[in-house]
Amino acid sequence: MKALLTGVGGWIEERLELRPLISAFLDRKIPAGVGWLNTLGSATMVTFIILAATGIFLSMSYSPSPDHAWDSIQYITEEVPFGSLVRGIHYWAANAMVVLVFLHMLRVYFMAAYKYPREMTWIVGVFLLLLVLGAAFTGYLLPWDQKAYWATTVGTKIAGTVPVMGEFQRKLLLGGTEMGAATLTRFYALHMLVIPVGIALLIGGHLFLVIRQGIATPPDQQIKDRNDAR
Amino acid sequence: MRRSTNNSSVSRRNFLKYSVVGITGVISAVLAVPLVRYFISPALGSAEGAEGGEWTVIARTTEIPVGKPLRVEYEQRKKDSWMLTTRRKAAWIVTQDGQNFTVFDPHCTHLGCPYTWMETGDWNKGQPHFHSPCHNGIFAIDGTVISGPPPRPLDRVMSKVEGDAVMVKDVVIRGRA
Repeated sequence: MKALLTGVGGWIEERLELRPLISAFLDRKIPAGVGWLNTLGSATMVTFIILAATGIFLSMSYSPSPDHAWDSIQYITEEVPFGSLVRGIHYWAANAMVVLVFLHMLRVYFMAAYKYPREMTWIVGVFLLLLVLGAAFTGYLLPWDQKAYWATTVGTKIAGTVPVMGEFQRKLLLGGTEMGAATLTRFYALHMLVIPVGIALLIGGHLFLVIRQGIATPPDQQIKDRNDAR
Repeated sequence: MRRSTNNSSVSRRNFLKYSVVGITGVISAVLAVPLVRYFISPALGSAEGAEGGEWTVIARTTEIPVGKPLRVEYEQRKKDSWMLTTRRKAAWIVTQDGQNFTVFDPHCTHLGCPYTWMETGDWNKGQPHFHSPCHNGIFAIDGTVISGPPPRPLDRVMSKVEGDAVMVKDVVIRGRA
């Protein structure tokens, strides 16, 4: 088995020479003083991977129509083997992702890691934050229960309070003047096609910047370094 | 820093590498097993007891004349994953003794045309018969083929009698010669 793996690995390596890329990704130098707080970004990404995996399978048994959305989710929860677990993982990972993304942002903010030369990483991160909140907002409607219905009614009304553009925005979100079948399909498409692809692409850019520029030295380590230099 | 004095062949670096790979593997497996089970469950035929839908009452035994097939129309309720569908169906009920009832699927076994009951006519020497007009498939009252192209006797619908109710499930039993 090991010989086979080394054989296949060697065959690919001979053609693609991936080793330098892998070692640039994994064997990079990180500053002293980096600790658990620096894992919040990776943790967010893991929740994204879990959400993508569970979401794909949930979509196989979900029907984005007002007639059947609620029934299909009852079907997943009560009849599909492991359905309640898969749905539960998706639900909790979604909550965890929102919490983690904020903790990650706070860590970057308080460690001043967003400053020169890492402003671009921060800006990409802002868009990632918006996409994560968008995924949470659109996903919340899909169970099509009372909570979902009214949360979306309120959410879209809030969008409607914006001066001048408000009514346009509200109708754009709802896919009509009122909440209905078109709202559900619209949110479903955004939730499982548009937003995840956006998040995946931006994570790529975000990671590239982090690896290319290296992790920012934590502030107390910077002070320590300065005192050592004296 | 004090160097480790034991002669372990696993370096600190490799230990961490194996730990990370191991933990990632366990977490992935914990996630993968339910997902695979979820995905393949329809193919395992766990059936959910929904095969053929519900028993549906299609007639009362007292309504069915002895020796003369009765055509009934009914609505078959059937569970389709998360949906409950209602389909309009028809069937022929036959009894020869008022005790045992046979329910025939209303389609000819040749190409699926609906057939009808003929009391007379040229096709069975003037005797009563089931007549499928498309290609003149002729069946006897017990479903056997008298003449024409049908390859097998009439198909039956799974049925039972409870009290005076004739009930069916949406399961077709292929006719056998």
